[in-house]
Amino acid sequence: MNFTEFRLKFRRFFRKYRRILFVIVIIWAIIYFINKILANTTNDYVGETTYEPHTAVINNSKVASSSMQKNIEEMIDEYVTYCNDGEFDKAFEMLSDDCKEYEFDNNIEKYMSYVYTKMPTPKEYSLQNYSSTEYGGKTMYIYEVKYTDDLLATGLTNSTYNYTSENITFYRGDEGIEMNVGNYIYHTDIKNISENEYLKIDVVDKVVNYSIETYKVKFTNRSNYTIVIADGQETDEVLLTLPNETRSRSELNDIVLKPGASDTVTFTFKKFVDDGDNSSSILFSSIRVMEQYSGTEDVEESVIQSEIDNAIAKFSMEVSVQE
Amino acid sequence: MRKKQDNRFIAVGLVVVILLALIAFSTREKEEVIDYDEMTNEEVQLVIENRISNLEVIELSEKNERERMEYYVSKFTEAIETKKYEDAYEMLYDEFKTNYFPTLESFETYVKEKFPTFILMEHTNCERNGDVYVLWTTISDVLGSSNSAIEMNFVVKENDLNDFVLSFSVI
Repeated sequence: MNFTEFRLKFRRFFRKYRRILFVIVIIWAIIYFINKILANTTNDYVGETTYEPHTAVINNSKVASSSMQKNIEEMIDEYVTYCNDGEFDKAFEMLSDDCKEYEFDNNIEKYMSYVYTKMPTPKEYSLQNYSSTEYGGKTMYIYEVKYTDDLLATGLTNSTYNYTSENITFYRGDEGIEMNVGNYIYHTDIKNISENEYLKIDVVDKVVNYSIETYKVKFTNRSNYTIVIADGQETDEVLLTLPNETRSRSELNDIVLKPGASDTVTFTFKKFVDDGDNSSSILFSSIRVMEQYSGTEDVEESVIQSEIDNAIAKFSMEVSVQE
Repeated sequence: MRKKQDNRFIAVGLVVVILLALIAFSTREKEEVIDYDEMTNEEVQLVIENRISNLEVIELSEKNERERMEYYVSKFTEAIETKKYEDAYEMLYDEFKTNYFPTLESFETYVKEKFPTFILMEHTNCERNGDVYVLWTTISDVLGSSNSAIEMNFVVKENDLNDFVLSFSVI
């Protein structure tokens, strides 16, 4: 094949396939230039970090909007600055009304005592979204705030690495973003009642902290006998029931009602607000209406057992605590 | 009819290619032409340092956070080893300097006394608190006995890649 034949063949080939060749060249050119553009625009080097303060670490719960994240950062900064500067009245004013009332009894001195346990000296802080929970149609974002000395200023000279921490909750309230400290999450009135001819049990309200639920329960003895709700003689006398388990109360005090008496008792149960379970009820499993009751201290076991055996009535009562 | 369609496709393709070429041209990094002959030694030194720093940034961008913190600490101890005390002093957090080493001389005296000539470091733990990292480090002399090892904490804050401040537990 001489040069002329080759030239003719090449020309015929080009004429026959020129459209395909054009398409190939255009696609190649597009890929080439896109590659160039990407190469020119991705020179912004960023260090990988695990610090994502607004990403929940406990579960894949909701993330606050970016505007709320900014507000949260500003509020925490303002709050810690007030505490560091000893302006406790201003820090206290930042808290929601519920938090002031149910966590600190509207008592600034009680609040200050609490702050001293977390920030006895001026502190630096870091925040990390922990989880969120829903209450009253609102999403409550729970952040863990860690307080440390200024580690960079000391380099940990003559000290060890330690910190205090608390959970601070943020949610959108009627007057903008509200803030709860002291692990307080929310309060709710329950007002559920269970009653019979001997006893009326009224679960008045519930205070939810990050890791505990506290119930205020009013007992009214309608009988002419002593009623024992709990005195340690039976197992699991007071239980919080959840869908798949029960929890015992933290307190160990006896609950005994004289004939016709009323008493309001506080029960505390360990329960994490973000564990995905909802409390169902409080079960009083061994209520005894006693004809004779001598107590349990310094009383012989046989006497105690005999009094239980001769009880007028023994029953259990359950009061719903669902919101 | 088909020929017309093919021509239209090729025309559109060419327009796209030209547009992409223009974008690629406009976004390309302008190559800085440096005339070293016109520069003083200090200026040349600065250009070289900037280039090294850029290379460090690229290298650091490929490391995870613990590796980066260890790198910063080793950069600090390397400056001490090579007797570039001023460079090491510049890496310290301002308040830490005020608290413990108000002058470069006081820092130099301290590190000469406490740090070995040839530093061997082992980072036993690293913990992050917000954007501050604490490293637990054992420092020993490459030529010395294992008894000479000292335990030291380094606290590092990274502002950006290769932009950091640190402090350490003064012993």
